[in-house]
Amino acid sequence: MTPLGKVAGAQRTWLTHVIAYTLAGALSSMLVGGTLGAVGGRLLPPDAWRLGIPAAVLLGVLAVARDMGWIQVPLAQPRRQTRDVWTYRYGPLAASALWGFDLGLVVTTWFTFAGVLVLVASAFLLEDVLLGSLLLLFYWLGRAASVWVGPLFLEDAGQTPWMLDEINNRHRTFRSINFLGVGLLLSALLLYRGL
Amino acid sequence: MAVRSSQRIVAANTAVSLLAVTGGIATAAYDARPAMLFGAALLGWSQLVGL
Repeated sequence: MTPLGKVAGAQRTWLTHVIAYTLAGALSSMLVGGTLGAVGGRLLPPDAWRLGIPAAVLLGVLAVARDMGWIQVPLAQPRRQTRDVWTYRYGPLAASALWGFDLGLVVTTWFTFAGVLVLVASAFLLEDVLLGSLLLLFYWLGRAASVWVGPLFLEDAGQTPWMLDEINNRHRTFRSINFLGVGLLLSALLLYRGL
Repeated sequence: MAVRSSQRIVAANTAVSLLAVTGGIATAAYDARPAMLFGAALLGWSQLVGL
């Protein structure tokens, strides 16, 4: 989607696709977050958070340690990504929406960092449909923001491969941001539960 | 040209991180829930590496 934002006359198409991507992802992420909150509320016994929150903190520590390369722990995650072929099969607009919906589901595609498991655990432990929905919605908005600002990183559409390389070369920076996000989320969770 | 683009990526990372951390800390004093949301948004942004 990003190169379209730099092609003369294609900005409207780019905007339509990115809106479809963002809305579809918002819908699926809220569905997943709400479901996690509802299931947590239904399954967890009263005061489960007293054990659950320390478990989430432990999970966060393990996730960060794994992402930093300090420990080697296999990560339970789906070994798939969104499908490029959707754009040929369903057209670019529907494919944009499908990519957004798929990525918004959070747990159906490959995790860049293990920190995302802390997000899923938090939504479950909050035992709140609305808060679980909002938590995953904000995760999605943070994720979709990169697609919105992507064209600003480019001087022209031809730079797209360079941009992707540049972003991948900055893996350590994004890993640090992920670390910061896990820390902020867990600190707020502890504060919310009055621990 | 690439240098300017690279600087924009650095600037975006810095701006998003500062916004989320500052927003999280500022709101946590009153209500921890918005701080959680800022943390979640930052986690989402960090997935840019898999764009």
